Amino acid sequence: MYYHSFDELEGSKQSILVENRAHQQALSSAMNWCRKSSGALAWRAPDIVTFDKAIDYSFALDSLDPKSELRDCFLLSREQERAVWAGVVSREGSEQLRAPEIIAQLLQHAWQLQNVWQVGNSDETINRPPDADAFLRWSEGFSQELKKIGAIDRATFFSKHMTKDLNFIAQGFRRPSPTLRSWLNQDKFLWTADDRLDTSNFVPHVYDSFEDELHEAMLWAKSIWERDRDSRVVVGVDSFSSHTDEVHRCGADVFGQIWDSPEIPYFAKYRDILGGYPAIQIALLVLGVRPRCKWDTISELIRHPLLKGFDEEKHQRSVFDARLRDENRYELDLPLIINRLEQSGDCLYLLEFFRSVEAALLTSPRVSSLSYWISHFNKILRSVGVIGLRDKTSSRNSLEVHWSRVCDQVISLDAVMEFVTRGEALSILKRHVEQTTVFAGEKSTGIFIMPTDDAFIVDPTHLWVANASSKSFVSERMGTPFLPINSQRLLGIPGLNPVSDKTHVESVISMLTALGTERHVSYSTFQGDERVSFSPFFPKLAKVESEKIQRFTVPSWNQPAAKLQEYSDFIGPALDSTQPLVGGVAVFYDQAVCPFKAFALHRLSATPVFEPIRGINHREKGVIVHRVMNAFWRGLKTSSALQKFSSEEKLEYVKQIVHGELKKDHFATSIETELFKIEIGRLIELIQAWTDFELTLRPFRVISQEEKVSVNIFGVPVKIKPDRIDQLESGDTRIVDYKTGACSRSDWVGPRLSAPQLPMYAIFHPLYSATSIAFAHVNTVKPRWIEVPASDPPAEDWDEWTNRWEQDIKILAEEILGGIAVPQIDERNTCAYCEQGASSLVEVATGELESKVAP
Amino acid sequence: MILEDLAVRQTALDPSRSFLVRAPAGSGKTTVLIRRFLRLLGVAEHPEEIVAVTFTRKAAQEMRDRVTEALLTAKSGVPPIEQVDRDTYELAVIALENDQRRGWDLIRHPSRLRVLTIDALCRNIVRQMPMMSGMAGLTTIEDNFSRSRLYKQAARSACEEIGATDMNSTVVKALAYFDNDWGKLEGLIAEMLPKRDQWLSFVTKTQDRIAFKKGYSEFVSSKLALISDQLDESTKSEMLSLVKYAAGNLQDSYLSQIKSFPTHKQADLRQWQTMLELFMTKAGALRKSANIKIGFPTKHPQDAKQMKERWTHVVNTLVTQASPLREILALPLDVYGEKDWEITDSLVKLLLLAAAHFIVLSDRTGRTDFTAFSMAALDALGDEDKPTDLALSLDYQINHLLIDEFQDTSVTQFELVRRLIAGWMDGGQKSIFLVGDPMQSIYRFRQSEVGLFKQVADAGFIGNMSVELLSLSVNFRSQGSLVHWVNTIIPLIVREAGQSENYFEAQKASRVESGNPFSFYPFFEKSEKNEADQVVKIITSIREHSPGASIAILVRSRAHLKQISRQLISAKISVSNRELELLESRPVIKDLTSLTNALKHLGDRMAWLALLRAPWAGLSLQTLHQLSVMCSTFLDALGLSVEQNLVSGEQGNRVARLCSIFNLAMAESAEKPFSRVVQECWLALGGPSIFRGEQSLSDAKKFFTILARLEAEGILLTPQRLRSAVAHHYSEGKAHIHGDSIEVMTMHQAKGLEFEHVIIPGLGSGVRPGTKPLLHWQQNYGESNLPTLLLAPIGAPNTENKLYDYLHYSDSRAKQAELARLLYVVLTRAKTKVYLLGHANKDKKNQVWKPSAGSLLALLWPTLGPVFDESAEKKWISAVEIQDRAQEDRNLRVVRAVPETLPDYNQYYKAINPRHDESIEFDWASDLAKQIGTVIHRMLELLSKNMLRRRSLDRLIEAAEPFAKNQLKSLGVANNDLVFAVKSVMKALETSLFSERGSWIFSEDHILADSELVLSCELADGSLQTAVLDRTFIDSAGVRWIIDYKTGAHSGGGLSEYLDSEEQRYKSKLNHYANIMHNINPGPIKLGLYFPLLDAWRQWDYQENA
Repeated sequence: MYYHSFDELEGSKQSILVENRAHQQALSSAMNWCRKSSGALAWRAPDIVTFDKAIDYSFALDSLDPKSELRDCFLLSREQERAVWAGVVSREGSEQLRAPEIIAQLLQHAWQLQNVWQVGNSDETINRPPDADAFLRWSEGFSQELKKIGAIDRATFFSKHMTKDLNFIAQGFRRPSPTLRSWLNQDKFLWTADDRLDTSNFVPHVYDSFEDELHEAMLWAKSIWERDRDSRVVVGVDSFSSHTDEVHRCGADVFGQIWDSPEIPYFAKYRDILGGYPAIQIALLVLGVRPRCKWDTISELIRHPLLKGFDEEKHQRSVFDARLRDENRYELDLPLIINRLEQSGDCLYLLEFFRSVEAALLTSPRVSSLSYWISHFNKILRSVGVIGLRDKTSSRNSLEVHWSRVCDQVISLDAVMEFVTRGEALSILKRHVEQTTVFAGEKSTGIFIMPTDDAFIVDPTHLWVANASSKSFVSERMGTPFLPINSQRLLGIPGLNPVSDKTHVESVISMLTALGTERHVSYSTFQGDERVSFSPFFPKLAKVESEKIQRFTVPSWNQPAAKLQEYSDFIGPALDSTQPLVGGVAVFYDQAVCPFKAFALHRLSATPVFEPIRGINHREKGVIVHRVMNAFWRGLKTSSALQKFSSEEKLEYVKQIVHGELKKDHFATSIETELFKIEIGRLIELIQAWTDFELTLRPFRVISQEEKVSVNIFGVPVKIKPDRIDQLESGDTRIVDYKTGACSRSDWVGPRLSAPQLPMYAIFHPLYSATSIAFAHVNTVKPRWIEVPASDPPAEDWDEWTNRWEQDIKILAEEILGGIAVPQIDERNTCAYCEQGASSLVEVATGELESKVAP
Repeated sequence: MILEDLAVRQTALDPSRSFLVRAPAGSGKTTVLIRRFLRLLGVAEHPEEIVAVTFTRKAAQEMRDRVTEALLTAKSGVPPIEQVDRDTYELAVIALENDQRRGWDLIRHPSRLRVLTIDALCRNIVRQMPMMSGMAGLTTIEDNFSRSRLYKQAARSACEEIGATDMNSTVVKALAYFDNDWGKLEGLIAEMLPKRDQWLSFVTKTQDRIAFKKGYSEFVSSKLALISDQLDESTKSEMLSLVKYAAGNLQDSYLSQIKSFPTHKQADLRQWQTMLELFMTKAGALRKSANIKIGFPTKHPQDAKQMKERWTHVVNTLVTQASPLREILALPLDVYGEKDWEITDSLVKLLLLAAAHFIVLSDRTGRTDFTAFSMAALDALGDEDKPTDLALSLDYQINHLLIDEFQDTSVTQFELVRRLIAGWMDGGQKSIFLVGDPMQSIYRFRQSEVGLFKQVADAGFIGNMSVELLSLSVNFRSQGSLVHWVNTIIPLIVREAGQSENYFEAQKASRVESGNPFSFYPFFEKSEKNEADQVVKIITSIREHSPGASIAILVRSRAHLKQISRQLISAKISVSNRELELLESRPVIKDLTSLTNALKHLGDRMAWLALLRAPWAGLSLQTLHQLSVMCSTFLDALGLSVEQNLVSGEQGNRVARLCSIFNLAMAESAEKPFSRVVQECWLALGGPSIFRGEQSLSDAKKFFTILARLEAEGILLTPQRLRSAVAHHYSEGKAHIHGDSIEVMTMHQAKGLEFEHVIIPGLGSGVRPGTKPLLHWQQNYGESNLPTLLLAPIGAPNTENKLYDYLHYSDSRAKQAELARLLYVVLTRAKTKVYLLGHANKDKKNQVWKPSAGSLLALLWPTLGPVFDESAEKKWISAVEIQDRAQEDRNLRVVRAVPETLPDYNQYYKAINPRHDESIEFDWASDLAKQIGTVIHRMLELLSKNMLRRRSLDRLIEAAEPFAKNQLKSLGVANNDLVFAVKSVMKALETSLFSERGSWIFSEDHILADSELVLSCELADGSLQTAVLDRTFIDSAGVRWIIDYKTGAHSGGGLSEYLDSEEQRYKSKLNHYANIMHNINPGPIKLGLYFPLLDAWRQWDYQENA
């Protein structure tokens, strides 16, 4: 370890200065463990201070001195400082800059480098890239900005004052900074690292994938800990942030529920992102509700299990949500939702929730201080019952504490920021939530999953260095983009100078070899597509590549094989023909396409949830065309009436009809208004083109439109509603179906009719006996009329058609009555694209179930 | 063996010269590159001055490995036996000497070898100027789904400008053009965004219809001039007289207008086309015979026969020019009409808007795509005339640039290279080395531009650097007869594809001939099963004759593979097929998708049906029907049926089991990340016990990773988003490995690899044509050699845009040419033999049809077509037979499987405690009190640490007030509360300083005094607790005091009651502190609460174990 003993630290009145809270917590855990294991029942905790605290403290002392030049200044916190940076960045050169927030963060870093570590670049003026100039320019702006608000930045303060005070022991830097290194050289650091570079006491492992590797390492950690409860087991990864998913997944697999249970003194998770907790997610969702909101946000919120009233309402809410989606509104507004909820009479809590949110939104000003917004947000959360932010995945109430801390941080920005809008306030809050990490609690013993470079801070008893591949170990380091590379090389900033890299690597390795009593090292042969080898920094381990290691299988996934039975199950219960079958002729249509699909849709009501899209969907467009055509002929009745119109009169009539038929409530948002305006233009053109075409047809009279009648088709009770029925001059009756999409005569050729509607109307309509059927293919480019029997020679026999159809329809009716649900497997592999594909089990039935082939 | 091109290979090593090396398949291209790299290492001052650029990370890694390997061999000091390897060894020895001399230690620090992918190069450039390039903090997205989401979002945002005053008409026009189909317009725009490096620079320039029209006119003239130059005068006059003859017979007004041979002005295009239609069909093929319809009657009085002969002669002359003539026929007569221009203009504006939105979105999300980096890298380097400081600095750092696979460079990448070397001159210390083979350029979909290779080769220059063209001609890979065969058929294929042959050069074989280079298996009518059977037979036969030989099956698209995999598995032939099967098509993923959707939405009845019918649930249709009519959600129905015992028997047990599992999962969903809820539910249902194969388990793992990532990115999950997130992934396909496996991969994946035997099935099948892009564009150079642009939007539904069609036609010709190159690439993968399998269809007259133009067999038709005629009779399978087979397959499918037993699910869920709503512990209203409290504590800490004592009291108060004010302000106290807050703090400070109690607490006379002291202890249950003591000391009587400050305010009467209640409230806490202290320093302890704002005090004695 870096220091001789804890006693030494305790004895001296020194403080240990560390970079951040993570180090502070880890170090304090290690020390607590040390005291505890020495038998003490209670002890004085080590005085470990983060930089922030240390600066705060010394600043406080200085600023109270009346002679101090800093007296009237106040110190900025990191967040405040970043807010000032963001202000500077976005004001100047904004036309060139993107992501001011992120740049602000980088600048802050660079500023500290320049001011804290006195990394100058004045000597490099000639070769300095323009970015360094840009940086200098902005840093000047920053200074001015600080002056304006009467503040002093921590970097300047630190460089001026803290470095004079030698009562600190700096510790815990992963990458020694130049200043820190100078301290090291002056022996102010309790450093006892010897030069052990012997890696022979590492046990090597090789895996196929990183996930396997991590699993094995975690299993090993678990077994050690179960044997020895006083151990501190470290599994080191190259970078925690880029492996979050794998760590979580493997953790959950290996440790099961303990992974998330801090109550059990068993496992110490390194850290977690605050924004990842369901409780925080719903808080942000709630705050994201505006008077008008995207449907997916609302939908997610409605169904969120943490929303109050969950137990009573969850099922009702899902049904309500599915119904709401059917309205195909890409944006929903609160009054509409409230209105629908009032109509449904279900989901009382939800109704109350939306009312409260609406009320809260009404009262808020346009811009205000962050303090106002935060308290406003908290009031909303409290009023709608998303309170306490309790989450069992965290330690008791720790989320509340963290939430409150984040709120405090955001509020503190008021000191430097001007008034903001609600949206801006929310995005600042969100960003802070995303950046905040949660510690599962201080643990003196346990299992630690952490970056390898940090391993020394918990003084592990057992160590496993994972991902020690040629690509990841030692993890990649970067210089700062803000200073000339040559200067950085001269200063020995890691990542730019191979020599300093080497020194750094050796120090990491020597640190690792000095840790623990048992050490393992592993890597996985593939990183993405790339084949990698053992890290060259473990020189003696290169040979283990050939070592054969058994593939690892996840224990909880290692379930015993289920014994399979095979049986046929493609016949459902017979249809109760006394009950009306919902779906009308669509049942026959679907049955013809695929019996399974028809059964799933109409007998089991297995419809997919609808996802609203921006714009008007095809279905809706078709419905509008039907309505407009219906209204058109409702007024005219006969083709001779149409003939009498002049072209201007006809256009006027069409316009009138189209405007009259489009629902007013479609025009809810400005975007929808515009879209429907386009649609009106399009419809007028379409109907004009179609009716021009109808003028060329034989004279007819429209005798029925969308008239609904009940019929019984070979025992299947359905309601039918033909689009239009015409009587021709000859006295013949023609049934018409409007089509805006593709259609052809082959749709009426059996045995499985792809469009059985018109044949069914023709045969079974109780009021009209048809002598022909026709698709009216309504379109602007090539309007046409597809008719059976064809009026052109060779004339076709209508009876022949109807007889054939009758047989085909009878087969379909029998299938429907009998509950036949056998999937219709098509040569074109359509089952693979069918929405019901997952339930039809075609794949399973074709023998792809792997238990059959598994040993 | 002495190589014929040995001299060329030696020349390529000269570090003082720059080269463009044309290295055909199997010629040892990478070796040449490695050797050059080693050679340069031998002379360089720093290894970083040599930069090698490759196109894939895999290639970069391979190259780095090979260099390191060579250095290691050199270090070992043992020269290899083979002469070929010894040359490399010698170069490595020199490099190693230089390494040692300069102390690089490359073997230990291979990362100093700068072998980069082109994307990494761009990123490196940009990262050096993060602010100027505007890319600071932005990272690229590796994942297809996230990238396409970003494109879609940008496109949507652009369309959403529909209400905005300045953009409204633009969006309205565009939408009206696409029949008000928002989804289509959005999709088309989104597809254009990844390629914006190509169009953005064009469309940002001023749009001028006249200029575009002029540009087109120049373009047409240049095309006509070109063809006119290539026709000799006699052909021209012959064509003219035939035209006149036909015009006379037809009385065709257009034809009769042609009095002289048309000029190459655009105005004469109509005449050209009319004339050409006499010799060519409308589809662009040369007519086979002349007939009356085109003005050549059979029974013309005199010269009919003679005229027909003359006509035939002309057609035969035109054969060589067929392709450019076809192009003339396809050229539109008039472009950029008023209406066309209006829509072009609107779409271009919309695209610009979308590109701008993309930047805004990148800012917001901090993520962007590769294109943004390559564009930024170009910007960062500046113009050729005005290089930036960065370009100059890179110029200083890089001395040697090596580019592998140069034929795959895109226009943008080429431009980047040009700017990178803009300052380089011949004769300096710098060199450029480009290696590639234009015949192996198969990445048009990644915008690679094969023409660039030729351009450099012809010019002999890149930037200011002259490059010498070297050609390697010896093939090391394939056996002699295979090389000869390829040499013979490739020119035929290339010609069939309508491409000029100048990309191809015949190779010389270095290996001896060993047998027949290829076998062809023809099939009639498409039957994947028959082909798959044949593949199995071929493999078995190869295995018999040459066990251990490497075999690869190369397919054009993954869709061609399903049947083959199935047959191979059933024939127990092991395959290693990484990434061939789509993840979403795997049964396990289908079930997991249903599970995810069902848990996400109780109202998604379709997902619930799939979930309940899946093998792990095993509910019958009868039961499902019973449940479906009960309630509006299946979960309700399950609950109800369990409650009232509505389903009996074995199905009843299943229902009960499912009901418990889903209820537990739903309860968990409030407390855990959703991806974990799904995983636990899957385990509880027994997912792994049903899908047991290794492949299924790894698929499932992949699915959970995707789900977790979606969650981490905060994407609200809907069935559609889940589907598209999964859509881009492949199953890893590690299954079915029983020993020596054969490789199965797509043709593109095979590039750079070699196998003894290569089997190519499905030659007769085409691939589905991709969607047409929103815009087609083409840059040309007009009369004044200034660039002009042709730009056309896709036609509206059911209409056409002639210029677009023409550009699309040019594009498809380029695609066809690439298809020929693809065929070259696959044929040259083989070392010993190629096996070709393909089908052709027949018409009713039993006549074999040439396969569709998109298939590879169509290109091989001149060679392989005759084989079909020969075997036509014996291998004919009737359509009836095929139908029967299909029926057979179908009957097999109507069974399903249900597991008899499933694991105990309880182990996956912890005992659920009923949730109870505890009261909120947070006092949301008292933020101000909290802030005041914090500052008071801090002030008192300073006071206690004797920091304030040294000053006079007046000065102290004077100093403290602004301090307190600042502290409060930085904690976020609002301005209107500030006066009150400062007053409170100052009051507390004054009280503490001046009151009797305060003076005592903060007296300097106490022993072992400390403030904010941190103590820790272990509790009885073994857990650790930490306490922070506001103030502690030992008084003169030897009593240890532990004091806690309470900064609460109290107004009105009842102060005593308030203090009592506070004492009760904090008694146990302070006693606990005392317990800890007692353990460290045993002795008498007294406890106190100090209220500085009230100047009040409460105290009591500590009793051990109280």
